[in-house]
Amino acid sequence: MVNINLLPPELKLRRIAAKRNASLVSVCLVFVIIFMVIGVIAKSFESTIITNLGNATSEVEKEKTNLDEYNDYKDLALTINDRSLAADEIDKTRVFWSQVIQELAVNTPSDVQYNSLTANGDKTPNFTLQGNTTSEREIIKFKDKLENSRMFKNVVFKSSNLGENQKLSFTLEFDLEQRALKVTTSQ
Amino acid sequence: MKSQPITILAITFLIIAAIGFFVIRPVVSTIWNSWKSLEKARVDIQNLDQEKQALEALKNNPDLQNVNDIALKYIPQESDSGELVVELSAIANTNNFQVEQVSMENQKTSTPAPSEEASTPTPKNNATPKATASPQKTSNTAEVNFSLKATGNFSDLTSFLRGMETSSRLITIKSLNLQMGQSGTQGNNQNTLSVSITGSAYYKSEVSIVDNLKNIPVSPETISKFLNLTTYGSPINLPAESGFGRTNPFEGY
Repeated sequence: MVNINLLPPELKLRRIAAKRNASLVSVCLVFVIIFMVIGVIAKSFESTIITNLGNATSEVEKEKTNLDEYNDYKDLALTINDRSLAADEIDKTRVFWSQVIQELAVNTPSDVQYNSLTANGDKTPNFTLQGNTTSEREIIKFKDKLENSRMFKNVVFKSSNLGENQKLSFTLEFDLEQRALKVTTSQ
Repeated sequence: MKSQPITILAITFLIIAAIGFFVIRPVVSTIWNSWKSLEKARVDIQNLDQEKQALEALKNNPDLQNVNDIALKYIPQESDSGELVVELSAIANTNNFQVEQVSMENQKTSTPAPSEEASTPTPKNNATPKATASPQKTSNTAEVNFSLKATGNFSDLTSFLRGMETSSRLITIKSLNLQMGQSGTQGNNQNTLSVSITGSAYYKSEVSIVDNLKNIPVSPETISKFLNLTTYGSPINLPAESGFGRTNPFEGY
C-alpha cells in the first residue's frame, strides 16, 4: 500500500516546523523544571544547614558559659606556664656555677692551691685564676687537664713567678665551654 | 518561521537565568557561608570540649594552687627586693656562709622602669646594707640586680651556689670572685674564702602568654620543677608581725 500525502507543500513544511518547535519547547520545559527542582532542593538544604548552625552556635555559647566556672583554674595555669616559659628562656643563658666550680676543683692537681678566682659569664676570659704550686710541670698539667675538660676551653697560661717562700705563683685565664651551659641547663 | 526556535531558546535561557540569579544564587551563597560557620562552630565545640577536659584536669589537680604560689615566688609580679635579700641571706646561713653585705645595684636603664628605694637588713650585725633596687627590663621579664659579699669555706661554697640555683626565687649569678682569706688577719681563716657575687633575680608584672588551648594544660614536668624548688628565707609578713611603734626612735633599743 502506498501512502500519498496530498497536503500542499507549504502546509507540510508548517507541520514539520510545528513538530520541531513542540519538541524544543518540551526540552526547554524539562530544563526549566530541573532548575526549579534544584532551587527547591537548595532551599530545603539551606533551611537544614541554618538549623544545624543555630544548634551548633547555641551549643558553643552554652559550652563557653559552662567554662566560665573554670576561669580561676585557667588563670592559675596560665600564670604557671608563663613563669615556666620565662624561666626556661632565662635558663638558656644561665650558668650553673656550682657545677662549674665543682668541675674546676675536680680538675685541679693536688699540688696546686688557688689564691683567687674571678669568674664572669659575660666577660672574656670567663675565668682568671691565680694560684701557687711547686713547679711549672704542675701548671702545665693543670692547663692540659682544664683543656680536656668538657666545661672549659681557651686555657691560657698568663704568668708565673717564684715567690719568697719558693712557691711558684701563676695566673691562668680560660673560658667556659658553651656546651657546658647546655649540660648544666639540662640537669 | 525560523525565528521561533530562537525565541523559545531565548525565553528558556531567560527563565533559567532568572531562577539561577534570584533563587539559586542567594541560596547557594547562604549555604556556603552557613557551611563555613558550621565547620567553625564544630571546631569550636571540639576545642571547647578539649579545653573543658584540660580545665577539669586542672580542677582535679591538688597541687595547682600551691604550684601557682611557688611560680609567683619564683618570678614574682613585683621586684620584691626585700624578700630577695631575706632569701639570699637565708641561703648563705643555711650553708654556713656569713653574709657581710647585700646590695641591690643601681644601674642605668635606657627605658624608664619603675624603681623603688628600700633598705633591707642582713642577718649579721656587721652588715652594711645599701639597697637601691633598680629593675631592668629585658623583654617581658625585668631584672633586679644584686651583689653579695660573704665569707665561708670552699666546701660550703658549692652547696651555697647550688642553694642559689635551686632557690624558690629565680636567681642568676653573673659573676663571682673568690679570694683566699689572709692568714693571721682573722684568726683561723686559713681556709676561709671571701666571696663576692653579682647576680640577678627576675620579676614579671603580667602574664604574657596567649590564652589558648595549648597554654592551658600544666605538664607534670612543670609541676615537679616548681615543687622541687627550695625555700630558704621566711617571707616578710608585715601584717602578722608585732613589735612596731616606738616613743623615741632615736633612743637605743
